[in-house]
Amino acid sequence: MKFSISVGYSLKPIFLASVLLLAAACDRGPQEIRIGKQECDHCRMMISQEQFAAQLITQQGRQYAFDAIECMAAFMDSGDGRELDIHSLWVPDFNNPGNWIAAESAWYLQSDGLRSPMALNFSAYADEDAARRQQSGFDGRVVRWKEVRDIVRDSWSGGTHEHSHNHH
Amino acid sequence: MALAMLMAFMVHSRSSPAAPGLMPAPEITSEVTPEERVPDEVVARKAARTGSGPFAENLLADESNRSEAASQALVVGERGGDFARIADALSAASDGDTIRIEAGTYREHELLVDRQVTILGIGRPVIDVEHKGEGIRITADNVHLEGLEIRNVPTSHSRDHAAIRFDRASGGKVIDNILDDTFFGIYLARAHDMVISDNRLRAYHTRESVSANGIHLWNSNRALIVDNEIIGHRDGIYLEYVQESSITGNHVEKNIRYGLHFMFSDDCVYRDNQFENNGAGVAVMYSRRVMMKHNLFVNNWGASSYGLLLKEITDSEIFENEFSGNTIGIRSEGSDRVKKYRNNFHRNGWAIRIMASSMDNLITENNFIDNAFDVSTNSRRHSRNNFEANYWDKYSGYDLNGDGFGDVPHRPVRLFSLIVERNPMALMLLRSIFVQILDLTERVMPTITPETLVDEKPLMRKVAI
Repeated sequence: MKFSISVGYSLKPIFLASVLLLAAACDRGPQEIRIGKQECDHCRMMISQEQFAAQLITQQGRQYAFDAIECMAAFMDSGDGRELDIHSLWVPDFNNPGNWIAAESAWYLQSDGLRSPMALNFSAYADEDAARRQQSGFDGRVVRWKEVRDIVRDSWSGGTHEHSHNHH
Repeated sequence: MALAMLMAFMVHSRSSPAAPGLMPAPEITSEVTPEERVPDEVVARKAARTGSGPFAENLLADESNRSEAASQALVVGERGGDFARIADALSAASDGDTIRIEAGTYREHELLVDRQVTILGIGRPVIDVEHKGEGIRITADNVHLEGLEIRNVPTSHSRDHAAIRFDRASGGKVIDNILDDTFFGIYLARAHDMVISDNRLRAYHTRESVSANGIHLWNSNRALIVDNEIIGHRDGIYLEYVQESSITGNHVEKNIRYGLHFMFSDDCVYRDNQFENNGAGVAVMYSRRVMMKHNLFVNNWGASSYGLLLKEITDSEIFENEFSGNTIGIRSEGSDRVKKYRNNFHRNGWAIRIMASSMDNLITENNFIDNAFDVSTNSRRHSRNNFEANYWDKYSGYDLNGDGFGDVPHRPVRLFSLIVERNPMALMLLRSIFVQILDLTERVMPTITPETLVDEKPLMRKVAI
């Protein structure tokens, strides 16, 4: 009798823990990007600046990581990207890298004063205020995710190569 | 197999006196060859440096556009001199003046150079920025900096602090300076016709997120970056929207990401550089007409590391380079019309990984020796790249007519490498008997490797490079 009770007590936390683990395994939120070790799944560059890195999570829970927000946008229009079952898209809070914001709810600043790895210079913020505050220091324009995708499409149409060189 | 090897050996020894026939020299089609222009300038500079007196004075003597009569020398010194602080000398100077800074430690930052001056360190004065901001910012043309040491430039994730920044200022020279523990080292923004030579840059960052590039060029054309030593930065040398520039004779080591990194930079040359122990050697991305000659890509070793990454590169040439001890020698993606010739590939995991997205590349007269895999690709489809007349140490054919070319075509893609492309874990089987049988089968019945990825006339002897 005593024996069975003690088993009951000791199994409970294990059961709970395994339920939690299972839940974690199914969680398709943002995953860690190994800065300096992981390559961009679009341009193959080593991901090196966490304040610009972005990620796409598929329905299957697989992560596609990008060195820049513009690379994620371009990837979604590429052959590889169009075939995916996308679950969610994540961009980093420029003011708190490590905090991920859903791409659709983020506010973006495109500014030459904050140079991103792929030179389209998008940075992301949790709300409009934060984006506008940054804009007052670095100039540029504040846009939403849909415009980010349009700008990337326009700038890189005909391949990343043809990106208009802004020499002046 | 033993028989084949014996035959190969016999044929080898028999044909060895006969050198390979004259190779059709690979056509060099690049219209712009800054390579032609650079050596003279470099030679001239070397000559100037060996002359008497500081290099700067030789240069000044040559420059007739400076008015000799009006120019004066301002001396900055801790004891004596006209000024105790560099900032005061800078605001007192006029175009054409020379500011001599005597040995000592100057705790100054955000020094603004807004007129055309020469700044000469005498006895290597130290400018200690004390992590307070940028070192020197130059906004005037034709500014010359020589003989300084700049220390302690702070890292930042939103501000690109540099030890030396040229901002819309062209024609400047940065020669023989030491930059120690900086964020960005030398930063050129819209600065054209610059010379950056004989500087030593050292940073100590271990994480990419808090490190920056040693020599960073943005929107700056016709730069000469010569004989610098760059250690411990994110990218040793970084080019973004840079044209017609030359990177020569630099030693680039232990940088966290790339030794040299091209982004959207056309018509450039890099030659005689050494890229050693960087995260990866050189990444040339989204650029056209790049000449890569006589560089050393060594020991870029790590899970996905490489000597050279080509990403969307067109009409470029890679010749007389040494790739040795890299995980991957050259990795090519979406790169067309690139000629790779007279290179040595030695002791790499993969000598060349050429993705199916790359077309019309010519690979000829290279030596492939002691690589685990010589060529690997991710597709069995039709290869549109031409492998011709290379030396492959794994070639086991023969040359009965003694013309220097093997009589049997060589297929450099091992079947096993295709398996590894799909399932990297399979690499564990590399030395197993299973894989040896696979290789042998493929050699006898080449049905699975890309049928057009064949060297029709492999060389019997190494190319002397």
